[in-house]
Amino acid sequence: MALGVVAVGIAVQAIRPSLEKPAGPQVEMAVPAPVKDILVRRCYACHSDEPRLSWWDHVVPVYWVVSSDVQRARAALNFSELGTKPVAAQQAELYEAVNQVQLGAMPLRLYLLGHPGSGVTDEELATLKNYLAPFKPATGPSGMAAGEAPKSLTAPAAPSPNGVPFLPGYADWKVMSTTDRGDNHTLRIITGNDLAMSAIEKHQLPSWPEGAAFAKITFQSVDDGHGHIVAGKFVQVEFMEKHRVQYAGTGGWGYARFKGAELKPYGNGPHFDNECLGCHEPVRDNDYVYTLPLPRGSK
Amino acid sequence: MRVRLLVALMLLGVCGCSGKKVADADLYNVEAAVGAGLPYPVMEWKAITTVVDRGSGTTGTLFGNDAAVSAARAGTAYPAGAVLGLVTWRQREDPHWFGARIPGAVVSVEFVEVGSGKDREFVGTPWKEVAGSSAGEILGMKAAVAP
Repeated sequence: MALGVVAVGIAVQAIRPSLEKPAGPQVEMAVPAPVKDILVRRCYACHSDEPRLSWWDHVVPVYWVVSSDVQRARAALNFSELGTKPVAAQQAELYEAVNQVQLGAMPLRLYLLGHPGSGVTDEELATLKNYLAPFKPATGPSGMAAGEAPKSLTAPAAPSPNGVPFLPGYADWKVMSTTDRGDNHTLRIITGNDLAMSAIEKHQLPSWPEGAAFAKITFQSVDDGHGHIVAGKFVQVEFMEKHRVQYAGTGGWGYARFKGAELKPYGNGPHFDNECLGCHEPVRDNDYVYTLPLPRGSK
Repeated sequence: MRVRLLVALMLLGVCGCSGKKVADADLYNVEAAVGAGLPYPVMEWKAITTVVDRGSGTTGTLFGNDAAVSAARAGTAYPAGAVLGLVTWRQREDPHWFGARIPGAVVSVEFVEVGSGKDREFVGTPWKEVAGSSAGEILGMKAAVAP
């Protein structure tokens, strides 16, 4: 009996999904050495084409968990190949990585249990932030002046590829907040429909009600060179809409993004929103909502 | 043995993480609340645009009543009866996103009434009315237009 268990235990060791180098071109992001060192030390074990596994990671069934994690990690962010993307996209990925770390979502809890002491230290996080320096220089001419107002369309050509609809009238919803984004030089106005506003007023968060919806409306930041920044060209509008059953696969929220004056639906295929979900995962306790709404009502 | 322990720990990690209580200040932007008692319900109005002043570290959102919003978005002159309200906040770092700044404490709320020409500014807690100083700037702000 015991012998049988051991034999099966040895036999299953042969079932090993490969973690070989993928075929894609390998170009790393150009960053200063101290930044690169941190990325290699803290991220590359999973987020690169050169996974570093401990001996116990190689033992099935742990190996099955580890190899699936590494595959998913590479799909989300692969530092061995990040350099092939446009520079702005590389920066955006690095910002997201820093934010995942800052919010405690990375490294994964499971990974830290198996690899104690491998978390990003406060000093390392500070080094990454100092490198990114979103608001430095503090000011300087940037952005394009607000051009002609986009033609008023009633709707984009198609819904989001995951089926989430465009929600007309979003610019007339009440204001939840605004953000000044130094990481990508945009200003955003975040609006919410009446159900969302009522939930804020009734102090129901983080339980957003069925049908609550937000729009994040993004404009280019236009700096006059003296630090006076106004909203320029419309960049995109993004929606989150709550329907627990319909959007059960994405945490109860439908995610959509429509880009440019022509409101081009963003995303390839019905599951592009895994990208949305991955980024919103660190704010799970806020029901996946990043925005801190301005309080409403008499409170 | 070590592997078994690890697998057990992993299962614990998967199961033991829901239902955390979230503090009020991590659900609402409590410090940026616009107090009650203003002459117009500015937070019920639609937004016309948002601006930032790096020098003073403030951010403003320009709101308007329906007459003001329609004119601003159409790029036409404000009609009599249009009222604009500029809420200005000190900026603070977004605790949820490194690289973003969000509204902090309110600095002032300024209303410009087109027609009567009144310019009323409110500061402090409770609100104290002072003479408005930015009517020209407020009337000159262009709408952020979204399709």
